[in-house]
Amino acid sequence: MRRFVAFCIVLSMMLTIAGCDQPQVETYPSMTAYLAVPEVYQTAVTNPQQDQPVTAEMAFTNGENGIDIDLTVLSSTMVYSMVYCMLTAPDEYTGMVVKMRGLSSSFHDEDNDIWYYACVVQDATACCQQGIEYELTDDYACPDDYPVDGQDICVIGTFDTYLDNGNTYYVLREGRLE
Amino acid sequence: MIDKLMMSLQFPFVRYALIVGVLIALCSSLLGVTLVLKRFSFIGDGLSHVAFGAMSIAEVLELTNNMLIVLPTTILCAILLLRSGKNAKIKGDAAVAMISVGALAFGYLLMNIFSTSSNLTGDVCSTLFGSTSILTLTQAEVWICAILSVVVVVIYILFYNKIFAVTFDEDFAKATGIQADLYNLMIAVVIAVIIVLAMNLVGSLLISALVIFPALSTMRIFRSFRSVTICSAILSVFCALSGLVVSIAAGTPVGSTIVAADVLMFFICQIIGAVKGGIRV
Repeated sequence: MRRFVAFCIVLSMMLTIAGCDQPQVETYPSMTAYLAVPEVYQTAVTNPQQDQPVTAEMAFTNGENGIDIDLTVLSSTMVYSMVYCMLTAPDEYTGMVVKMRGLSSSFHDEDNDIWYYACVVQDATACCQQGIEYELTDDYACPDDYPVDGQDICVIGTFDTYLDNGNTYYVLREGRLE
Repeated sequence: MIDKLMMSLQFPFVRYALIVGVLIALCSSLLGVTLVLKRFSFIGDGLSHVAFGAMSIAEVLELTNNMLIVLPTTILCAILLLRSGKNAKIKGDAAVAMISVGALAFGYLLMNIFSTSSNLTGDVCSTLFGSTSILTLTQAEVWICAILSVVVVVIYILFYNKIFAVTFDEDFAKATGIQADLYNLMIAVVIAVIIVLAMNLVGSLLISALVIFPALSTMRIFRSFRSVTICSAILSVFCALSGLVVSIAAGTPVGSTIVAADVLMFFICQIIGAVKGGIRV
């Protein structure tokens, strides 16, 4: 009888735990605790040692080769998972310089005559894919100097987000192709 | 490849995947021995398809936490399948097949008609084969998996003797006063919980491998229930870890790689068992 009561209690706990609502703000895997993230990637704060406000330009020299997250050295499984984390917890990665390899994809908004370009990565089975939009620097003429659809590209840019019609979009700004 | 692996371990979602993978493999192997001996090896497949169907309903209803529908539905079906007993009009394997394919088809139909995702094929494929699900867990999901896994292990340890009795000879267990129906109900509920957790690791279609192969592998070598159970748990954890590590380093689908490791281990145990003639403990 005691074991039956214990089992019922345990079963209730299991169903209660499984039914717990996820918090509104998820604690997604964060890279900030595990990367040497310079303070420049927070807000523009005054560096106490230099007594000067730090800028984004200085950030390129802080990471190794100016890159904070290099997805090109990871396997396809890891790349897909990492991009998933970046898209579900963008605040953790905003301002970081990201290097990624994937397939270029484009979309032309004919109403506004705007071209959108994205670097798409696939998981190991290639049935799931996701991508991050990228904007190249002014050194690249749009759309003549941009890659064609399906072209294998390696893009380096600063991860950022923006709102458009109430939706959040993710982009690599100030990008360059390698 | 070693360097790549060591670098991958720096990512928190990789460590989450390893923790959850080990716990799920441990739980599934424990109950796998009972399922194999009770000739219910395919129950994992059936229940996983039911869970897929329930998950589809949750997706259509846009529930924040799909566990609210998936877990109770899977538990209910597990009870129906495992407690139907000898007097059921539709017996064991036919009932499993009926519920399994029906739920799978119904779930996929619902997701197509009431699609809420722009990548339906990808979502379905990822759920069925578990290509990267284990690597995209949130902290909350990790905690839920960990707590449920610990509860399953505790239940198994507490009720080990009763589970042993109802596994080998249910009629004798009843005759000696053991409430076999109650313990069958408990086993059904625990199996349902494990199946729902294991879908994150290997996907719906490959869950049976996680349940069956460790038990079958150790049965090639050992004879006693206790030895088979302990060794099955060790082998399952080892194969899950190996599969995860290889898939992360080599970029292969997680679920398929783990199952491939299980299959390889089965053949190794088969050879060991054939050579040594089994170890009597």
